[in-house]
Amino acid sequence: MSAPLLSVTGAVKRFGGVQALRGVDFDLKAGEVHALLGENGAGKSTLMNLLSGVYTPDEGEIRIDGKPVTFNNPREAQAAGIATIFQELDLVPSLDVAANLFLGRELMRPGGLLDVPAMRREAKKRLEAIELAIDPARLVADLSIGQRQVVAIVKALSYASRVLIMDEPTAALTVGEVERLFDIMRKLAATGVGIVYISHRLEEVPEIADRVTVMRDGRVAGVTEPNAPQSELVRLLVGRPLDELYPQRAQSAGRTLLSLKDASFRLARESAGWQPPSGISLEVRAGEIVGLAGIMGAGRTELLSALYGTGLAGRWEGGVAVDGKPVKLSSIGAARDAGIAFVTDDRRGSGLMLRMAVGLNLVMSVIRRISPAGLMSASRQADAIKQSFGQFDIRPKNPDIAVGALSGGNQQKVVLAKEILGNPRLLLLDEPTRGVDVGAKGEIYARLRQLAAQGLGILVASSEMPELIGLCDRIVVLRQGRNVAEFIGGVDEHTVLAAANGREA
Amino acid sequence: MSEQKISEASGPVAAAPVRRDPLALVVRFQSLIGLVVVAIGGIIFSPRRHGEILFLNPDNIANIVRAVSETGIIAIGMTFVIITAGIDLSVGAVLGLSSVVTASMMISGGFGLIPTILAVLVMGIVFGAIQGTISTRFRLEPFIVTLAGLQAARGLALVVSGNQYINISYGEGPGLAPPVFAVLGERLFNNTVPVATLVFVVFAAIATIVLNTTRFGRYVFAVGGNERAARISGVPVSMVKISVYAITGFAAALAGIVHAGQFNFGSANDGMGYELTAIAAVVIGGTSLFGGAGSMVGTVAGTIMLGALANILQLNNITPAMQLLATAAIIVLAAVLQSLVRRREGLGR
Amino acid sequence: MKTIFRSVLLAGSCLCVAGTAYAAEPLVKACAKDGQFIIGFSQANNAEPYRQHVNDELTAAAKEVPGFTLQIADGAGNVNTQTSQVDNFITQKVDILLISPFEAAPLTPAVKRAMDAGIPVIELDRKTVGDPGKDYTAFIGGDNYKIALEAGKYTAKTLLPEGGEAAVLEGLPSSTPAVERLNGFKDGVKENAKIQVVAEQAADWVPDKAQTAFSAMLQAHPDIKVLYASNDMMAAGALLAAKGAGKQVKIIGTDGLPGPAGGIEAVAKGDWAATFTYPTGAKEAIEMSKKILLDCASSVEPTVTVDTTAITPENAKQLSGK
Repeated sequence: MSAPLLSVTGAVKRFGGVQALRGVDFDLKAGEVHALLGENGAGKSTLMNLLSGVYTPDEGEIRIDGKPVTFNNPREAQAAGIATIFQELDLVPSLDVAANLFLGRELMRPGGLLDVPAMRREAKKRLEAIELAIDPARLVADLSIGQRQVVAIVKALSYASRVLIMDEPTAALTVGEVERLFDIMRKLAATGVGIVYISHRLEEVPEIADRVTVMRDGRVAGVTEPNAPQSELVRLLVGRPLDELYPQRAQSAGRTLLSLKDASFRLARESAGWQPPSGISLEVRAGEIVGLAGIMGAGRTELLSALYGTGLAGRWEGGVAVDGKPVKLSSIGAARDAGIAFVTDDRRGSGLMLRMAVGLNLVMSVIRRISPAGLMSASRQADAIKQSFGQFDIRPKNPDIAVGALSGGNQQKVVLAKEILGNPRLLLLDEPTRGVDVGAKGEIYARLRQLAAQGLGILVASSEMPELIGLCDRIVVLRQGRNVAEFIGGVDEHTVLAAANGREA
Repeated sequence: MSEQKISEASGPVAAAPVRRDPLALVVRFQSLIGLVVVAIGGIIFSPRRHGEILFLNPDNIANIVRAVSETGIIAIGMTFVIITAGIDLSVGAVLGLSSVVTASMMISGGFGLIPTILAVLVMGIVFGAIQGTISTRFRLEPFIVTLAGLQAARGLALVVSGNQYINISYGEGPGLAPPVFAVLGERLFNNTVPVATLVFVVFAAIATIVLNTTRFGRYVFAVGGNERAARISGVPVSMVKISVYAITGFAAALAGIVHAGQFNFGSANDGMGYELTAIAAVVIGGTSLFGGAGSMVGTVAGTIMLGALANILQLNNITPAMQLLATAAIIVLAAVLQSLVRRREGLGR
Repeated sequence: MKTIFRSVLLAGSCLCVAGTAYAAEPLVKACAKDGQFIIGFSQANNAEPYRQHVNDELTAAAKEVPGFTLQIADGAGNVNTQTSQVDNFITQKVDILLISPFEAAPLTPAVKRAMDAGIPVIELDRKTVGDPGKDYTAFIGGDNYKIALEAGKYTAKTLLPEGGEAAVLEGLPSSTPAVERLNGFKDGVKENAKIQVVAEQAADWVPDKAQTAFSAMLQAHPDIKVLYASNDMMAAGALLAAKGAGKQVKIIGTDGLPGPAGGIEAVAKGDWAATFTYPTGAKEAIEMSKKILLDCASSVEPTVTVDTTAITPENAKQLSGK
């Protein structure tokens, strides 16, 4: 048997005192799609950065065709045939497709003028090679996310053609786009390209991968066949059985805190890609955690932001009641007055003041309460901060450092603690554990369950099916802004997925 | 992916929270340190006469703090705006407008001292609030709104003054201003403390209290720290933004009154370029143009430092060109230090 | 305490000077034939070419005197900055203060402080409020109003004896010289009732604004025969506008700066009809400083008016060669 296309042996990488990789072995064969799975912090990004030349390993070696290589920078990795497509596609939206494909290596006419027709011809040829009909003269800004993804692949393959590393390529794609992307990946693999496919969507793995490597805590937790049972993959990912991660469900639910009856959100102005709630009916009761499931674009985030008044301008129609009383939810002020709190899916963009201290962030939603007569009260502020640190195990235990310096999990705890300080009746959570490591996830789940037990109602939108199934008492499935199915917690994942995609289970 | 990178990179910071970055401490007090450095340099390089250090001569100190009082008052207002990640370019022009309105109300309008001062201050507040309202209501960059405000204020000043400068003469009767107004150009306490400086110091003290101990001050930091997060947390973002521009308008009007009183004069052209001097003082004082962080004490120290620097350079007969270059170097140094600290804290940019 | 004591002394000595002026006490006690003296010059704004011209002439004249050191501070067109610079000169105890105040009233208190500190003040080109010989030592300079009046009279008699339309480009609105020159010219052309001033616009002393403003004027009033520009730079801008519109307009400048880009050359080439020099008074100022510091003069002429010279096609060639 010949040597694998690409192999890594005993890779170790440290950042200061943190060991991100603790001796990783990994190999990729020509013509293979090799899925690399792992929670955030497991080390898969670090491994990817070693392969693409962003980092050099402290120990261990990388071989191509059995020959040892070292990459001092991404360009050297590209020269060796390794192309990487990052989650944030490195495309310039304001330029057309051809210009993006030739960015930095433009075709020129004599005299230093751009040869635009030649570039467009060549771009068309390359796009057609993978059977994609995109006009090379179109602006990238006008393409769908899926089309952009393909343009990025074509661009990457134009300068490195043996190994393709893809970081969460399906994170922002619709179901149809995912299938088209998989088609293209299979075709490329058939031509002998080796593909490293990084994802956290377990359900996609059997469909596309030939082999699966699962990472945990900077090590390879296991290498399995793609059709291994999901519970096995989860055990490898998390290091313990799934049911230990999630707390016990509630015994009973109390009065109805949020009630939507055939409620719709009329937008002041239609907006493409923003699916407003339309004819939705659901209830959240005290002590209950209700999950919102649905594919990308089903209207999960839109429902939460329309309830909290942070979405597009518009007004509610139909029955909207909080704690039994009909309310007009049209602004943040109205939502807060009704006792609603909201945690966004974008904690860095709209959840936290990254450069400000943890303590100052924690008291942000209770400034009014800790400033009697308009003057900030240092003792009340200190009490509030102490209360938050008591509720959530925020590390480090220092309210004075900038919140931006905390890990993703601790940042998320700060965002949650901040909203809890305001004593809401109803908590809206959008992707509460995005970019959060497993340990912090477990803690957040436990805390949410505790808060629910104290009478809080919680409505959670998440794209992570295991999270909804493990955490929630009930799961409401949305499609096109409407509730199409409802399941109790612990339901089989395929059943929920089928409902979300509008198929029979 | 970016999430993970950050948690990895910031691991060591999180592991050793108690140890403060010495560079961060330098930046926190950079303008005070700068002021001390300039003062020491001033003492060392000061010309001497009969062994007396001219730089430390009480008259010289009074001159330094008097000369910076107008830009200092403006810089204090500007600090609020810059902490919200905004900018106000109209302040110099509003100073000119206020000096003209002050002079013409007292000289041709025959108004008394108190009504004039109140009217001018209210005018400044309204002018700033209008700019803030336009900026928030139509989601326009404050840069462009206050650039237009600059033009508008200069234009209004020319209209009010009829394209003339207005001299202020003192006395009783029509066409004369109340003599007490001239006190703004004098010194108190045995001819040691300029009144203009007193106005500056009192305003600075009030502003420091407002920024650091009131709910409004906390809102100002919140809006600059992350406007969207502040809004979600229930901070009245629009009200805060309109208020900070009203504050800069008030400060510019106050500086205009001090200007008219110091120089017995109202002119539409006065205050040109003050906005840039004020911004420089604020940045040197450690307030970030990205918003969310800043210090009033720093602004005051930065203002005085720039004045002391100009003073020592002139005492040594160093050319104006060198003064500009020295100021430029200090601004860049202040900005670079801030950027280094941000990067060390793993906060990017 | 020491300072207070000294300022009382100073005030006392000032009274002495005033009270005993008749006793031929010198203006500066430390005067001496071969002493070393510092002359501080507080310039209004170095950025204007005319002011640079003043600086050059002063520097050249001061160099001729062995004991004189000239220090120039740039007020940068800002009364606050200039005030603080005058105060710095007082702190330094310069032997004579020369000043071109950016504006009159605002600099008056600073000049008074210098006088109170026993420093003779010679005002150059622009005055502060008060009387020369009393509130400040002397004034040397031209008379903006008179120079513009001359230009107006020249227009009335020589350029437009038959009458017609005239226009004015004003300097920075509401600045003292701009107002004086505007009023002077308008009063001067009143001598000829057939002349109408049909347009007056501010162009802030700078050529590009002058070009734009005059182009617009020519659109609105195509029959403008004479343009009075309140300084040479605006006259240069107006010439471009006239050429662009294909019009023959008689242009009058003010300042009469020397050099290849100056007004004298423009008249010599026939581009402008005339320019009226605004004398710097630099030589006169250094002469007066010599009298006070070296010759121990007890009094000097309080007002020295340096007359304007009309630069016309008749004398321009000869002057530009100099």
